[in-house]
Amino acid sequence: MIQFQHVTKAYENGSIALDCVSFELGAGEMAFLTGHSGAGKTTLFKLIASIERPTSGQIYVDGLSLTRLSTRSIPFLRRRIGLIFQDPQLLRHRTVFDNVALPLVISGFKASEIKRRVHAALDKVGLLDKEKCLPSTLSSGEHQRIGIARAVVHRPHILLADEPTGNLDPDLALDIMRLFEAFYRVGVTVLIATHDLSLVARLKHRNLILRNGQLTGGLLGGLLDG
Amino acid sequence: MAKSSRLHYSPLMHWVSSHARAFLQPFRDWWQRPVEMLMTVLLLAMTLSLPIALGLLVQNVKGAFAHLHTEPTVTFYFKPGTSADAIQAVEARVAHMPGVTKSQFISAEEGRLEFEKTLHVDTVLSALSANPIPAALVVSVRSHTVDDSAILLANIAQDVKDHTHALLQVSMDTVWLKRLSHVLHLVDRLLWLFILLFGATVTLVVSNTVRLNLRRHEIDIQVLGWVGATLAYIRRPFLYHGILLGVWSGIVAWLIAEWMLMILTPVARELTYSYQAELAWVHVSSTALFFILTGSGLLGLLGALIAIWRPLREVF
Repeated sequence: MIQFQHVTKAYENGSIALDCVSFELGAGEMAFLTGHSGAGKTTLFKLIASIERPTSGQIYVDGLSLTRLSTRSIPFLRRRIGLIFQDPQLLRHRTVFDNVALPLVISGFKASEIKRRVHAALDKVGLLDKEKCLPSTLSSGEHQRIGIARAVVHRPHILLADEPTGNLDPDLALDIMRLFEAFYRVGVTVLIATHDLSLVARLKHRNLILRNGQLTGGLLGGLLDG
Repeated sequence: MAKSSRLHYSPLMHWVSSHARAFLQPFRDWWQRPVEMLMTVLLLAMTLSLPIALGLLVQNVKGAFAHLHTEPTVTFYFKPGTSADAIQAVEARVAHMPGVTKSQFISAEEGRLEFEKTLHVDTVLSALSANPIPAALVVSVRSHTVDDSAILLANIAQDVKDHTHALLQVSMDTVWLKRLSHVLHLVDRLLWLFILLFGATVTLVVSNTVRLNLRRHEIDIQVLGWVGATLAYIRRPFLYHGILLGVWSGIVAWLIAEWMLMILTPVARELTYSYQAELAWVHVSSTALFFILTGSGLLGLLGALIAIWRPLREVF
């Protein structure tokens, strides 16, 4: 589903965010991406979603070669992906319902279907009763959950989560991880970047470790326990 | 496919609904900042109103001068002793020339009487042994513009000069025509400069307003990009913002222009009366209003395009 072949990403200031990274994540697979701050996790996610382009190497996502992907096709690639960032960047003047509905509105879903799917997504993250609230009236943890609901509402093939539990307490963080596992079980490819090694250890999935822009391991999370 | 059509709107419906959303977005923004919006529209409207009012006034004044009650004339004076046949031949020749409305033959005797009547100098002329006043042919022309009248007169004069040797003198009544023509040219040129400069001002102000709005919506743009919105989808509300700003400004400019024309028309009427031309009350016609709103909308669109062109490309 996601394949990196010798991918390097260098910025104009000369810093190298990713250095000849190669890995493959199969369809319906779940993996963690760990590494220190600045190791290149966010860059790797941005490359998968074509928010940035690689300096060299090949990237394949859901059967598409991103290096050959035209600018016009990028939005349609992103509609296959659910993106969750540490700062979910919610629209301040829109209600929770409108924020979550955004990917469906853009894709042209009917109003009845939008309502059904948004309610289902909000129910999954435990915020169904907050659908009419404005984001400014909610906590940062709730913001993160709205971001997750927005990322999964259109049932993407791939879910990319960059530090999704950074603002959550441990119990809620585990609940959210279980939610990601639920998506993984129904065939969604899930890649989660996190600092929380204890969570990685508890959930036995593959762990991709980035160090100074290089991929140094592809271990199973469970092995970290030992 | 059947499942998809059950869940999705048809492409046409989706297109219509996304345009409707984009169209309404600027109203949401203005609702949050009504004073800012009002001030911008007033600024743009005042800028637009001057060329609109001036343009309409000039157009109408030029129209009035095209229907002057006094027609420009060229007078041919004939050498003494020129036969009536030769003069009739000239008269017949000019009668078929373009723009000629009438020609009037004034014999030497009629000329003398007219001269005496006008200047009360009968004693002076009777003291002379022969009548010094030559026979004359006065040819009047009419055309759509002051410039064309001058050209017609010159053509007629040249043609007659080329075809008869009996002429003593040709006198063209074109000095006032030329003066008027120069004034109208100057005003015309000024008008185009106003249109160019004020049009550019409107475009730049709209561009700056849309750019500020773009900054306020930076997060929205980023999120829309993440969730798969196309560049056209993201651009659309900003383009509508520019168009609507232009159209609103056009409407207010129309009202200001009407007010300006109420003040300027009496002054312009005095000017046209002095040339014996009649100027009707000038106002913004429905056709002019259509062009004003289309033009201001297009200027707004251009301003919005300038504002969003580069920043939004960076989303992809």
